[in-house]
Amino acid sequence: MKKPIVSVQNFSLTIGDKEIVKDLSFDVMPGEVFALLGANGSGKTSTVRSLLGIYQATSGNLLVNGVPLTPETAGVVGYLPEERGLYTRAKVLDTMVYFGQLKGMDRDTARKFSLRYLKRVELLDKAQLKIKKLSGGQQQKIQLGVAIMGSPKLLVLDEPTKGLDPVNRKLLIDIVEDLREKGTAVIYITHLMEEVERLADRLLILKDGEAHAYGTVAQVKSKYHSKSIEDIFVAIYKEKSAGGHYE
Amino acid sequence: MSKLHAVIRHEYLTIVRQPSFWIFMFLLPALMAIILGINIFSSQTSNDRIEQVAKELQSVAVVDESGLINQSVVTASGLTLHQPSERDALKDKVIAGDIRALIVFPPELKTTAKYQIYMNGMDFTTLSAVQTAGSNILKTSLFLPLGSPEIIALAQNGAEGTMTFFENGKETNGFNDYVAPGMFAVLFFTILSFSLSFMLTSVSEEKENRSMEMVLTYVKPRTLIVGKILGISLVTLTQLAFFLLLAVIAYFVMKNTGSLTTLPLGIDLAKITIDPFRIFFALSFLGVGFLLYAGLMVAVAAMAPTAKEANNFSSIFIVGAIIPIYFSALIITDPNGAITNFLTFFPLSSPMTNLLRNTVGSLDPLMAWASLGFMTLCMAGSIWIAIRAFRIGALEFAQSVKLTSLFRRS
Repeated sequence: MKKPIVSVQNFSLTIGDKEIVKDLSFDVMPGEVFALLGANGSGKTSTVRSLLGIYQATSGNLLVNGVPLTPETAGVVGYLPEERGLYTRAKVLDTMVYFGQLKGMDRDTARKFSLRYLKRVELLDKAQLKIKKLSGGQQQKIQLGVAIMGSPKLLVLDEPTKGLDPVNRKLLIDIVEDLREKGTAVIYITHLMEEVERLADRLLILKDGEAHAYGTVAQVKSKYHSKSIEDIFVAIYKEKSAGGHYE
Repeated sequence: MSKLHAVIRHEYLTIVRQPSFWIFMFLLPALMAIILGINIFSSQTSNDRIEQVAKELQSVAVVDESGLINQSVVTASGLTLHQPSERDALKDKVIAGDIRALIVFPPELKTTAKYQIYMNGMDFTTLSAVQTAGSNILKTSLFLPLGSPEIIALAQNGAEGTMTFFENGKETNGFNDYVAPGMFAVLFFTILSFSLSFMLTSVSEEKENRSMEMVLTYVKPRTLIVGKILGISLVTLTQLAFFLLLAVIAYFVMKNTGSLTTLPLGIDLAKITIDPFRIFFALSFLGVGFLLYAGLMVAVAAMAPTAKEANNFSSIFIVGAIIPIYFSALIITDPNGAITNFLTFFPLSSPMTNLLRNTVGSLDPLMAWASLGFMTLCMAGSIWIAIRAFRIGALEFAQSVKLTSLFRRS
């Protein structure tokens, strides 16, 4: 039996006097796309930041590969945050190599990977340009490249297709599927339910920091007697909050 | 270590690869050279004008009604001495423009100390030359009974005092003692002017362009802050090396072209004193002061939501740092006064005040150690606040972080 790459157990997070996440537990297996869903302010980004060690959990365990993630061990993770951006005054290749080094790669390996990736996404001719010279979509491709550098075991994508045109959205989804086939686990945060239907193996719906639905896409649909994740999502958010309930 | 190295390299190259960095580096000395050039040009123009005025002075008449003016002095000045009876006629010639000016030394000169100048047209250079000529004629005539031209010149011009200083019964090296420790005060001012803004921009831009969250996934806040401080220190060293090189080139050019004769205040480069005690404290105050301010800049940048707001807020701290310069006369003349002691220990003004006091030697060892110790504590506090503010504020993109939250949130 495969061991989960991500294991979150009884995780709670309080910032100031606000309880952001309450007693959350879930696993993510290698090679699966795990959709983390919820409305704005439901605690998705805070959960991810805690998993990555940026926020400190108030209680509970958040483990990646069996250990809490720290900057030293974060090289196994690729992260594309929702609030993302790059050094606009730096060159494309320099930026990618810099992030590669921060993930623990040596300069030469990071450079080779970057050039290979830029070729794949048809941006090789922009390698020596400053980031600010690129279009928004091109900058997002670079951000994704930075996230997948070093063949991560876990990829966390927070609204990765936001602002992408259909061509680049397809390119991104192809890359995600490639990585999944190679055994990379993907935590996929999105508001687009058709992406969940298409990509996700399992999902978790968060509301007010609590889990309200958790399981494979088929299990969740079966439990809610619905053929659409979007309908389930809307139904959950129309319910009065009465604490998390999932099996 | 490799992540720290990567951050240092990134910070350094991001700044020195900007064209604006080098434009500024060349623009500053170029601007100074232009100002120097304008001075030399205007000085040259003045010399040409003075020659022209000297010719005009030949048509200036002098009338002595006081009996104090010596005719040979007037003649030696290139002017002509006339009889008092000619006064009105000469005045009419001035009005008509036949002669340029008339100087009249009246009978009551001894009691009023005033004489009259009549001049055709308002030309400031000529007026100044006529006034100077009148004054010199009077003074030289009065000094003439002293005898030799050397004595007259000495009486008129005075003499330069050569300085020899003593302290605790021993001869000191005068202002040469101030040069080496004083360089550190200049260095701190340079750091305040340039490097700290780099520090502020580095953090606030990273926050504003939203690259911060990706960076913090892979690097500890402490590593990132230390990397930024070291990278920007290297930028400062690059700037200083560049300016030093230009200063050395300028020195040798001026020396070889004879533009540089002596340095002010009797400073002799060959006699500059290197006092290990003062150099140690200068270096310590500079280093600790830089870290104290670097910490504050990181904290400000992390707490403000935009680079613009961070920039506005940081100016409060920069004013605190340069206030001792405005109080420098007081700090030097009243080293044990209440204001000096306040500025010595007030965290924001402490680095510059101590550097100034160390320069003029008004810090005794006990005070120097006490100031350095307290400043080090403040520096540690500033770094602590920076790391704390960074953890809390680095990912707060929409609003400023409240000061109270630094001490409240876990």
